Amino acid sequence: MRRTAVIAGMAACLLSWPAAAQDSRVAARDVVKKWQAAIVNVRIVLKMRMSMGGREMQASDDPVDAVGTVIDPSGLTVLSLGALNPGALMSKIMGANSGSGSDPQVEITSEPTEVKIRLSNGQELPARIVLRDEDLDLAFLRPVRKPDKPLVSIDLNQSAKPSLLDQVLVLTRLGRVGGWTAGASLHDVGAIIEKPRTFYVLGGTTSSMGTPAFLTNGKVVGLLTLRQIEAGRASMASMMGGSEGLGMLGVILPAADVLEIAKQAPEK
Amino acid sequence: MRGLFATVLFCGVAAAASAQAVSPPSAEDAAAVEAALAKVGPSLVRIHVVSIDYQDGRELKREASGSGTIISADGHVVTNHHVAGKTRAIRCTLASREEIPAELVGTDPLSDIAILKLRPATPRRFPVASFGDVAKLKVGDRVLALGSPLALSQSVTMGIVSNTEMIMPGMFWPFNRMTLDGEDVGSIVRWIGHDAPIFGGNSGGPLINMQGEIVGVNEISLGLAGAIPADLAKEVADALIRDGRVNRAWIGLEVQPLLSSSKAPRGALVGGTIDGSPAAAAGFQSGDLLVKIAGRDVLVRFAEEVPIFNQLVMRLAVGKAVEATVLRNGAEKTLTVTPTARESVDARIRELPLFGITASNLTSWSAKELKRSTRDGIRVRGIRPGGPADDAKPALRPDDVIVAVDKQPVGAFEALERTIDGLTKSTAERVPALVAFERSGERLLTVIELGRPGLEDPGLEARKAWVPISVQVLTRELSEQLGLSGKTGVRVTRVFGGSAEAAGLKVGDVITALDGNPLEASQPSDAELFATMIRQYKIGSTATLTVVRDAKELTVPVKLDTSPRLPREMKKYEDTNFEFRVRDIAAADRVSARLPADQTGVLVDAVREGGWAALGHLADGDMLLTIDGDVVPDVEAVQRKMATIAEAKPRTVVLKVRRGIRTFFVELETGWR
Repeated sequence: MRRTAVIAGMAACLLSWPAAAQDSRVAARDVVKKWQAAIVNVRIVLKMRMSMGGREMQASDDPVDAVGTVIDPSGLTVLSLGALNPGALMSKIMGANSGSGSDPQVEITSEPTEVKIRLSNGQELPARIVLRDEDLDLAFLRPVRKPDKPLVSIDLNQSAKPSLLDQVLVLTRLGRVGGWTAGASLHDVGAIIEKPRTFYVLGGTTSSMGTPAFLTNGKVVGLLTLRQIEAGRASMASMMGGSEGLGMLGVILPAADVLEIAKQAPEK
Repeated sequence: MRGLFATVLFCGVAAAASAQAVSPPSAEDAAAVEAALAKVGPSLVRIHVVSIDYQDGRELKREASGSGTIISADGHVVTNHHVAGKTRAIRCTLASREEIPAELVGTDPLSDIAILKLRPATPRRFPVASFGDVAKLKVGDRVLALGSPLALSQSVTMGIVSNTEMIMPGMFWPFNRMTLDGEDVGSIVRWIGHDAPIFGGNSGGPLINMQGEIVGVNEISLGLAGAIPADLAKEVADALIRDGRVNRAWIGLEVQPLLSSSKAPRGALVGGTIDGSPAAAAGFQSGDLLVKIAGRDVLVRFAEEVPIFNQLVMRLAVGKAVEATVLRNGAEKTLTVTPTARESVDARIRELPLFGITASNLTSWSAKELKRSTRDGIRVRGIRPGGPADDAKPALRPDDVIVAVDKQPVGAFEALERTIDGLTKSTAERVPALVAFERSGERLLTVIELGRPGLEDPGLEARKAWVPISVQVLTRELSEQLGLSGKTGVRVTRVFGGSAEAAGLKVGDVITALDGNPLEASQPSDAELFATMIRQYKIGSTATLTVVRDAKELTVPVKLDTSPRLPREMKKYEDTNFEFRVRDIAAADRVSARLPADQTGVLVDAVREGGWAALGHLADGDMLLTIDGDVVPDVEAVQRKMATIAEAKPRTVVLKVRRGIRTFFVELETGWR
């Protein structure tokens, strides 16, 4: 009898684990369905300029594709600032690689010349950059003209704080090659940074930036951004270990922090 | 092509290294060199150009330099097409070191010869060098290469003639066709090969004999240097001075050397004819042996003889029928061919900024290459990434031929410009235009939103609370040395003023807590901790710092400032005439450059390559203090001053500039047009 109970218990365990996993995936699919229209593609044309010793060596136009999140029915969209400013990132990498922290002789700058938000239905909205936050790696865009009807947007007020090893759902949207299809992935919260402010670090890797992360119950956790600190002297060997060697780490910035900064975004 | 020259000239540099072992000339040699130089040296010029190139749908300007020789007393200068053929501005430095503006009289990519005309402020006579007789030049003769290698002042190197019939070696395929603007230079040029070292910047300079006569115009270096023979250079130069162009005949006959298996004692093998050409009309057939044309016997056994044959054909009279004799199936046959005027292979490329492309008219050659029956239409040459044409669905691509815009046929570039102008002149908004174009025989439609790219406002930076100090982390090692064992926090390294100064913070203070919350910074990676904690506060609120000063613990209330504007947020002005941008000084600039609080001026934010400011060597980061003697305390003052300068169009503008700890004047030369 006792033996039967143990076996039954083990069977229940074996059956319930995949069932729970299955449940969370079903719930996650509902979240994707509900919010996927709020995940948009952003196309930015950048004028890239490299100068050496104060002298322009090369200037070119480079279109960059990024993913953003609509956080307001009027079209206010947030994305990772790094997408708008790859020049700063390249300067940082070159500086780190030179071993001197930065090379004052070489400067790479990128200035946007055109910004467009591409909605999930294919409509393109010319947009403006209205606010940046270098500290938190955020850029906020607004459509130049008010959209014809309110856009699907993620309400950052409905947020939640995950615990370590909680499962979070990251939404994204593929680019041109992927036919602009909505995408999603499940991750565990691998670490929680508490100082100087709270950031959640995903277990495993994701290339998404500027996209939202949710708990599987549909509460938004925050936005994926790139946390950067002064890398100091970085060697090639340290860079082999990944972006940490360059002083960079992908993190989830809590929704409340995004919301706080968004309050400063001008209406026009 | 530019890439090829870079490679070619690189070989020249390598060759120069081995040349250093050559023993110095004897006194007799030195006297001979001196005498030859005395004849040509005074007419040698260094040429400084702003050249135009096209890349990614844009016109690019670059600074470059080359060499040339004055060949007429009124100031005609012979140089290479690749030095001065496509330029926005030309200045020549004479042997006397005078700098004189010049303009392009004519250019010929097929021979790589260009003619400039010096434009001194008042007309004058210039020292002239003369052409020598190339026919007398022999392998082994000593020659001098004059010019401005590496843009240095006039220089000379010495060598001997290595080859009087140098062609691009076939083993260098595909590089044995050296094309300039689509023209195969080697099709008419047999270079004088010599071993006088030449470098980048020697291009266009004279190769002279020991009598002080020009025997060639230096052009390339394959290790051995190559000069365009003086007879060809002179013929082209005379035509350019006389007509502004070189008129050549064309029959469309493709000729190659006799096959090695051929036993024919004469003739040139006809590879084929160009469809629709005079040669095709005359009945030439592939496989014919051309043995005579216009009364001249033809013998082309080797690649070295092809340029001579091509020269012969190109010198025929346009429109005047000539007889040609061919051997076909062993029998002689006489054909009559009427040459037409030879067209350039390539048409001039121009930028269409509102389209985001570079484009050119179609020539007969390019129409044939694109397998089109007419020359109507505009050939797309380059696409600006992210520009209107790139953004269209479908996007345009290089070699598409635009045939209609807004349902209006566009036969030539000028028509397209007029159509675009008509569509866009009354609005600053983007204008969608229906564009019809051809691609590989397909006729496609797309919609292009015509519009000029403009820099977007990069957006304001979020404002946050800030204490105007800089700090360093109190590492464990530091805390022990400072007698603060067990403490964590940050040490004040600089006080910038504002609320920090008002609160009495001092350099050396160690901040250990903020509103009673310990500042747990002990690793270098905690450097941002203090600033980040401060950023959580509201601007204008008060934070109480726990500070250790002289081993005593204090509480210091600090009213939090607003974070300062970043340099990129400062007011900017871009001058489109001189092509530079300035901005007001930001607080961060004052800190990083340790500028005094009352320092006025503007900072140079960008200097566009090839613009007048770049030519004057203004640089990013320079602080502009005065313009033509007027103090410019801020961007608005610069804007006002530059508006008056644009009105007055002076020949030069003088800027007073501070760069680091130095102050100096920059003289910008202008070329208003």
